[in-house]
Amino acid sequence: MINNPARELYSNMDIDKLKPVQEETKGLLSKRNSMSMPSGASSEPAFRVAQHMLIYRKQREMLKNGRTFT
Amino acid sequence: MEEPLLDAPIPGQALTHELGARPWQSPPQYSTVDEAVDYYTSRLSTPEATSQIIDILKMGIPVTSLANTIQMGSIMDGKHSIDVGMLVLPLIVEVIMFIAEQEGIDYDDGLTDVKDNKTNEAILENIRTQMKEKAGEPVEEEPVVEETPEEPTGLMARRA
Repeated sequence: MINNPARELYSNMDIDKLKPVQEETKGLLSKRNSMSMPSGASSEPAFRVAQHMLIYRKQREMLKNGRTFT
Repeated sequence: MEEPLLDAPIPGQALTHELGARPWQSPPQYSTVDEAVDYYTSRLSTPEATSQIIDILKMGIPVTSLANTIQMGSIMDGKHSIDVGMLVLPLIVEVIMFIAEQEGIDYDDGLTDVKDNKTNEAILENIRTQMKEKAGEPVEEEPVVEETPEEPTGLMARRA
């Protein structure tokens, strides 16, 4: 029985392989998405949590390496 | 004769409380993961929360245990559901580790399994023996200590 699922959940996130979401371009000729809900991985809650984690981890690694962030 | 336990709760007594009176029985305050993420990031970044987290980590409590306690407390307070708590839990771990790095303290992340790192000494000894046998080296056997019978020292004992 797992009393504390935090370790397993954290390990299973596997955010090292996660690609950051690219911002959409705003040009006139840019590809437009439909008005409906976004499809694919970005609509998954776990994916959005992983994106937040990625930001924190990057900042943490910067702190580890002795670099300051703004 | 065994006395009846009159102080013990009646079976089903836990279910007799009014439904919805407990925080976890009412709809959660934050129903989506995004709301829960906002809640935790803002809550954990306050100076009071940060200092408390630092104190707890300095005591040697692992980050994973602390994160689990925080999210369980929020479930009990009716902040979010168990499902949302499970999804947000890795983020809480990451935020706590970030705070610890920011403060520059040594902390136990709780991510390494203690059981896995421990090597059974008996297994190691068995491997060593097998390797020695393969190499043709004589296997060192522990010297057998012969037990010497104690001589009776009583008054009626037979004398040599």
